[in-house]
Amino acid sequence: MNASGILRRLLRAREWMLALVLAVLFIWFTCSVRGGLTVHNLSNLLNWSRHWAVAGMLSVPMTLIIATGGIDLSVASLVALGGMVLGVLWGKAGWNIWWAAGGGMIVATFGGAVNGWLSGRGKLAPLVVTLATMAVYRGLAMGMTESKPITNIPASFYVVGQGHLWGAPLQLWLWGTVTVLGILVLHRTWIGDSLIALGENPRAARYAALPVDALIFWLYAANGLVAGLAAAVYVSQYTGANPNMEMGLELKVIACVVLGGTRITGGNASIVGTFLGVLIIGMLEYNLDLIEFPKKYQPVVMGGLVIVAAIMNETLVRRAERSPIAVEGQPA
Amino acid sequence: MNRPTLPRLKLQGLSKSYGGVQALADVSLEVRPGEVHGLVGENGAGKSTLVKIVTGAVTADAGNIYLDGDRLHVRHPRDASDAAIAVVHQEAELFPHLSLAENMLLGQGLPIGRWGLIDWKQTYARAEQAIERLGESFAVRSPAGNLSVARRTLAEIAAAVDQQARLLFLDEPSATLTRLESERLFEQIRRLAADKVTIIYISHRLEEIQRICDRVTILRDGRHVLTADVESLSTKQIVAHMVGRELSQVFPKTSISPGDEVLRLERVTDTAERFRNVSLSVHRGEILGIYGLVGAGRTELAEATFGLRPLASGCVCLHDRPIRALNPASMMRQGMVYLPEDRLVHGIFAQLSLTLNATIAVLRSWCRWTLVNRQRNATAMRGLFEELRVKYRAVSQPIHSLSGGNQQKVLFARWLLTEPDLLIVDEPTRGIDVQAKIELHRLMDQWARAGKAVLMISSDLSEAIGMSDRLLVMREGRIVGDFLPWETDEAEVAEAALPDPTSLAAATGSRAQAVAVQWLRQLSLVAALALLAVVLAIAEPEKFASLSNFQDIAASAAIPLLMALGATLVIASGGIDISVGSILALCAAVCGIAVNHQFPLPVAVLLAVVSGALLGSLNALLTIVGKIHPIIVTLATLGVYRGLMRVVTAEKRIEGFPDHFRLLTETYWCGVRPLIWYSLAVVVAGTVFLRYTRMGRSLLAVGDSPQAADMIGLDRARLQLVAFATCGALTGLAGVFWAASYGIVDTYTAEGWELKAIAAAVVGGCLITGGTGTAWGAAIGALLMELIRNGLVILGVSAYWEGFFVGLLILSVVFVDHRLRRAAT
Repeated sequence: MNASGILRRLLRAREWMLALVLAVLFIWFTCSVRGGLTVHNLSNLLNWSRHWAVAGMLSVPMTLIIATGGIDLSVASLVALGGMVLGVLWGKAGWNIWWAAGGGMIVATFGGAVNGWLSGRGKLAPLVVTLATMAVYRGLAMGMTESKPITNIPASFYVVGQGHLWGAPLQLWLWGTVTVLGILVLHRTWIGDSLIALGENPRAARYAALPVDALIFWLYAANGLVAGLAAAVYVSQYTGANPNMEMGLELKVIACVVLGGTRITGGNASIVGTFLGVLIIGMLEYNLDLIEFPKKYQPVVMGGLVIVAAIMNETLVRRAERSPIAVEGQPA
Repeated sequence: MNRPTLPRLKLQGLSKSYGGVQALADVSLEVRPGEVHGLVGENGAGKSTLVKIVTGAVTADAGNIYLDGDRLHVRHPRDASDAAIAVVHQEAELFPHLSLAENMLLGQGLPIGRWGLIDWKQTYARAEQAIERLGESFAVRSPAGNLSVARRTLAEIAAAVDQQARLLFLDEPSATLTRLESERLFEQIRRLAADKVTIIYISHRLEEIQRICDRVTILRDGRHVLTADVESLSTKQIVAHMVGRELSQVFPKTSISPGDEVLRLERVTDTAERFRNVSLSVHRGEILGIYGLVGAGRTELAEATFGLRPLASGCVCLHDRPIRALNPASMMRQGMVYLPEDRLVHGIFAQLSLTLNATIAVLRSWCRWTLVNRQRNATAMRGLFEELRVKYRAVSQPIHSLSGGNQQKVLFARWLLTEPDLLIVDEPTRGIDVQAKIELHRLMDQWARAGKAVLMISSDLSEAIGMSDRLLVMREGRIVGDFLPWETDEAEVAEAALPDPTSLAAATGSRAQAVAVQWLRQLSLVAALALLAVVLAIAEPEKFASLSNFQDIAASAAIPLLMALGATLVIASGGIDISVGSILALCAAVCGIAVNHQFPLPVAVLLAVVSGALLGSLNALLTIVGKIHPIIVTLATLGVYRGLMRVVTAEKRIEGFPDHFRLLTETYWCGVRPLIWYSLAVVVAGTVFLRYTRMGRSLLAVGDSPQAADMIGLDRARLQLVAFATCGALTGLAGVFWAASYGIVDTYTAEGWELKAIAAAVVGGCLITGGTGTAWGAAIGALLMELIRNGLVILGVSAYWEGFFVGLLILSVVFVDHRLRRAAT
């Protein structure tokens, strides 16, 4: 059993609620789009959803990281670093673009591993560590080419970010794969259980002989790997890399995770919720664009959404903790 | 009723329940002035609930409290201290980063000297005097976190005496004291009683109750059993009333001849020297007991043996093989496990299921292809819980809903499943009911009989003697006695465990250095600053080493400095604000628009500062009222404020400010750029606030330990509001300077600067977990970062590398901090 029964039921209720919100957003979409629910409009939406894939992929490992009570502020910088390494290996070192993509992923994984090592073995607060490495990785990405972008990547690489597979944009399949893997790890393996336990009580996790440092190391390294993958998708989608790419994405990713019902203090996680969170934020943005809602108001709406979601998270969890369940001893 | 016999404290029908559990039921009690009144009962009898109600930590469901005949309403710890009620807790919650003197006096208010500022001299003097009155002397200026438990207790008593309490609760004060210290304490108690102070003395040591108390009240299961003169009761009778029946504690220990050696420690010493040169060996079939007082180093010894604490020297041998990789996971694999002392903090995963709590250690080895078979695990647990007689409803229920004894059984199950050869148990039966206690004892005995080894740490003397095959006594980090339980008695063992009164000072004296370490850290930051400057001056003398360049650096550090000071306030109070970049932009826009609309300059500045304060307050309100983590709140408002800024500016650049506005940052005063003067003023004001005002100190205290802050009744919400609002105001001011010095405000203004602010605060010595931080530290942090930027420009390195170097700087600073803190404890 992963989380306690009550918490799990709550999470599930929450996921239904998110699905409901998503359905409302979808109905809104069908009402506001010209022509209503047509195949054409739907396929436009599907095509547009490729823009959500980068944040979507990153939000999966971020959910697990937040579940352990950690955080990674450096993901956007890791994406930029991975993208720039890819670009430089291809453009300056003359590598084959696919090898270069592999190189970018390796460097991003390494960057994630450094985060993991410092927060795990190094016992430093992840917030501070990744605040610092956010600057370091972005600095590396910028310094590498004196902040010049890399453009005109070969058309053979377009398939990753612009191609289709079975009728859907390719990166949606990548995002889906990452999500399914995340769900498997979280709910079906000892790793998921251990990560939740670690977030619930980090000290007890050490006393229970869990390999805490190794878990954290590999988790942040995996996050780096996903960031490298996202970098490849980005570079292909926008046919180039620039050192400023995805600035501020870390905050959007964290917002999706919180919207999905994972508590920032750790001890629970819902990847399905996170997935719905990404969809909700993406749909909302799409709808707001459809009704030509001014861009300048959009951050206000998004911010309000995150606050409402967070308040709901806390009140739900608190109510669950207060409800009298099988108390046969002294109070907690 | 005539005057002299008017009771000091009168409780009438006090009741309190927690979620359906009656902790206190209709308790009435009268205590006379100048009386020493014992309060006894088993764990969970309601003693601590009673204390909490009278001292305002919790509110009673029903009943009245009268102090000297007046009805007393205590809704808040402050109400109790106003009524001169003081309490000394068994294990004091304190503010580890604040000095001992501050810890002692913060609750009643630090002494105020000239200009309404804190008089530190008097603070230290008063704290010293109070401690001297108890016949002690120790460093009141060093952080309280570095003191031994005994000294903390003494300091609390000293503070309570200093406060001239009318009613003083002492909750097991002698548990950690040496005999000499206890004697001094008793002397003080008698003196206080002679001064008509009423003392309610809670203790498990009944011989103490009989020595110093006049009357005693016995509680059982939240009910008042009786109050009587101590002389009229024998110890045996008191115990009988406490447990409700004649106590005949029988330990289910069977004796057995020990087999091969399992664990051997050879002269082990840990790095913090909590224990020194300890050697022992544990054999199969044996229960080896270790008895000692709290703080004797027993737990530390067990933790180090399990790999949770580094060893400085010595050797741990399992099955005659020396262990190199000392970490919990590998110790567990090699057949040794440790059941920790503090069940709630180190043992259970409170919100997680019984199954997961029990299987967490073996989960990995029970998996195939890393996949968990939940069905099988749950079934296995049902069987095991049955066997251990755990009282539970479903294996999926969260463990916090079980009683302490059943929680402990689940933790036993966790280690049984790993099939260890050696089980170390640390206070296995502390705070659990009698029935569970007997069952756990039986379990340990079965365990040993099955040819396994048990190392049992206990401060329950009868348990230590009743359950052990051999009993070691630890005192001040050393093994000082080796007894065979059937050849000894309680008095002999207890005598051996009592600390040597002369050695306490030596054991704790070395820790006074912690203050010095903190100074050293800040000094080395200054040194780094100087060194960097010298290197740059040598490398590029013309460009760097000019007065105007220095002024440029200091002036451009002004904006990050203001923000860093704001971040310091928020972080020190236990929060974090990542929306300050957006606040700055919005305030800069507000100020710029106002100036362009010909508002008088002071009005424009004030507008920006007030909007900053309001935005900061909104963050605080959402955090406090919505009970949301400040990271989430400010993550959201980061977007909201930026959006508002776009709305306010209609997404246009704000520029073309009138000259008089630009002059705000351009007119040199005495040959120095104005931004430098502003920075200086802010740093001085910040230092005065954080160091010399009660509010500043309370703010640090709240971040240092929220629990301790609640205990002395600090208004956490208000202080956090102050921190966030001040941070917002400072950021607003920074926005004014931004508009004036750059002459332009656009949608990208100060994007990402929140991280700059937090980074400068952290570099300046602000712990991200709260409780520390200085204004001049923030200033140094901002300067250092600016100097790096300037240096890169001068050395011809592309400015794009700036982030890289700043990031490395933050990493190295937090790394050094971490090392320093580990060295200090």
